[in-house]
Amino acid sequence: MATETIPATRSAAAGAAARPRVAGLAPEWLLAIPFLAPALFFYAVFLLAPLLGTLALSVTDWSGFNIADIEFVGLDNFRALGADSVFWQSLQHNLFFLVGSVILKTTVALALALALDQNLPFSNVFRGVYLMPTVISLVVVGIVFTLVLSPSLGLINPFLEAIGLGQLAGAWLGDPDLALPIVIAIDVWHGFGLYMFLFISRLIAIPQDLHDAAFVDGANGWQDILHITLPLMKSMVAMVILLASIEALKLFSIVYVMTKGGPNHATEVLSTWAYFQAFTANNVGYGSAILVVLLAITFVLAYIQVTRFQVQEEI
Amino acid sequence: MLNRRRHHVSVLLLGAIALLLPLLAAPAQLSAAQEASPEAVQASGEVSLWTEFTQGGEGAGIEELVETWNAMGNGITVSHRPIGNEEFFTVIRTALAGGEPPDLLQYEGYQQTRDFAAAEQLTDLTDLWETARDGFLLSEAGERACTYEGRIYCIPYTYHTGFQIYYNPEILEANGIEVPQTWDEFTAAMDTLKAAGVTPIALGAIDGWPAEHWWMAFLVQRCGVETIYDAIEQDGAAFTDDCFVQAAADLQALAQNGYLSPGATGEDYPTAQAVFLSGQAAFFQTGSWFASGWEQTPPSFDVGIMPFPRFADAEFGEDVTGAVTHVFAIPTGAQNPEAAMDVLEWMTTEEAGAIWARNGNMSLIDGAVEGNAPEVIQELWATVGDANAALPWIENELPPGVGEDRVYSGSVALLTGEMTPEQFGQSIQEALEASA
Repeated sequence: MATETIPATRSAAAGAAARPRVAGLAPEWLLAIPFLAPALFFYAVFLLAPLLGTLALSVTDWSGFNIADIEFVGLDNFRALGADSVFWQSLQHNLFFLVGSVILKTTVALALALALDQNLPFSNVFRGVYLMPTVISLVVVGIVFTLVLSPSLGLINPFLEAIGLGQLAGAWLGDPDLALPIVIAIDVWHGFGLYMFLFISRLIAIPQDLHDAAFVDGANGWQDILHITLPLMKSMVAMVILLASIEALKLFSIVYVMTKGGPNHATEVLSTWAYFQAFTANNVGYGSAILVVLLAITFVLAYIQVTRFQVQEEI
Repeated sequence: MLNRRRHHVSVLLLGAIALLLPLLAAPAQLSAAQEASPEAVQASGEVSLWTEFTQGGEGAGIEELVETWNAMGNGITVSHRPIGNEEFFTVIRTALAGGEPPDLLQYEGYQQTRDFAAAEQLTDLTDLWETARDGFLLSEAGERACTYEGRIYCIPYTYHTGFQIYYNPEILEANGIEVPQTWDEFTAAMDTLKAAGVTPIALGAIDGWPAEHWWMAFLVQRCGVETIYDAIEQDGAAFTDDCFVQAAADLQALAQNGYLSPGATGEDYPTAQAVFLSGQAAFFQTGSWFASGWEQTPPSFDVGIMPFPRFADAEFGEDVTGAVTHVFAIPTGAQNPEAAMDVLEWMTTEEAGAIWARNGNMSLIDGAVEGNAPEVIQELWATVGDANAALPWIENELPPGVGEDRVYSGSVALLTGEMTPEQFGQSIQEALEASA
């Protein structure tokens, strides 16, 4: 199939190159500009401009009250990060969240996708059920889980007591050792459904012939998954890991809604600490420097993943 | 060939329309923006007012103030924008930095006054204050909230008491407990309640400040107001001094002895309030703002109020109540400052003070609370008159990186046991020295 497609594409490209330009009409790339312009406009105004603004502010000292008070301080803000224990704690939490969230989301999503691909009864119902959390706002999810986990007014502790497991009742989000793992678990619950769908869409694209051939060669179900399905899922797994990693690093709303980084910075991440510095502690420059570090980490990670796991066509 | 050409022309036309659409829409957007522009506001005599008063007595009070003013029909109309407390400061900062502040602004005074005034964002209101000062009670305490380099930049408006404890009389009675007066009686009462399976204290300190308010209640007895101010101003006292550490140890002991509600370090203030009001805890220590909303939403039981219990060995036995907490100012970037000044001037009158007090707020205007406030507010206000000193919430006097980080987070760390009282004092002191 591929050998048929490639010459056809080449032929079309060659044809386009050889095609004489219609008199009075612009080349095709020029035609694209009006279509791209609105998107480019919003991209520039709402992404590039704030990004450049953050980069510029990161080398300044500014309280945030009067633009005239902005003072250039070079790399002082970045040097100050070294002595900021909460910054390092936040970075550690980000990395913990990244590893925990990405591994759990990918594993759970892949396992469920493989299970639902077996045409079990009610597969379609379960697909919908698992996707449902993803479509709920993360803020709403945070508020609901905060209420559910509340040791005073929530449901978990009374439930544990009702089933005779009262000794497991705890302070949950008020426990510095548990707060971050709980936030990760909730984020995984909220986000795995979308990735599961991505895996399912890839599974559907694997030709049945390959499975049939494996079975004819004597492979059992597990061997089929291990040697046929999973190798063909590699590019999608890489894609999911990349998306989940970026999502994990951008983490803000669930932490802000559920714990505001507490108790005592136990769930503080770079974005919440940057927000605090910029909007509460009157250190807009320093807060921007924290965000620049976060940005750099995200870029490096994305670069490594994109170059290391280039999406390849396996079939 | 003709079809292809037509196709290209269509594509070009479509592209041009897509490109021009935002431009075509721009005049309509511009005219809508002009309607709300500062010039239009000034022409129509509108005064924009931003406050953090969204509910309870504060929300009802500001709405009645605005309605009363607007009903006068004097050509100046006030439009009020209530903004939730959590995002209020961020919104103000953005508005001030962006040169689009309201004409009249409410905030919480002290360090904020100093920050805003240092950035030349507040209008000097010294003349207005000189005129109105005699009509205000606790004017010196009010000036403290509004002064920067000897000038007055805001008008103090509300007082809050902070160190009383609300209690559930039904729970106390059911457990044979008299209202405690001393700290020993209080701990004995809490031990009795604990033994009976009742949570003694409702606390929700995820945001830090509710735990910090307990620390402050201990501080005034352990250190005294003067020493606290000396430490804030780094003038002969430090947060590492014994009395500060002892107060932190007092706070930590509440958690260590199991007196706090189970979600103390992970729940927020509204949750703790709900725990107390639903009869799940016997005591709740918080400011008078808790009682100011009872007119609008009365509690389901007759809430008792007692003074903060005294330590037998406390070095400072003086009565300390609370502080001026709400102030009003006119930003230098206000589009209609003259009209805003007229409104603010009216807000310093007895009529406005009566409205504010009637809705459950401790107005600083002389006679307003006594003649108009609900009974519970009058009771709390009476303690202000009996007190020897006022003490603002300590975070309002400290740089925000110290007050809202080291003090807030540290207070919670004391409760979770992650910090010792000595480390707590050290952490605040270091941050304060670094911010100097």
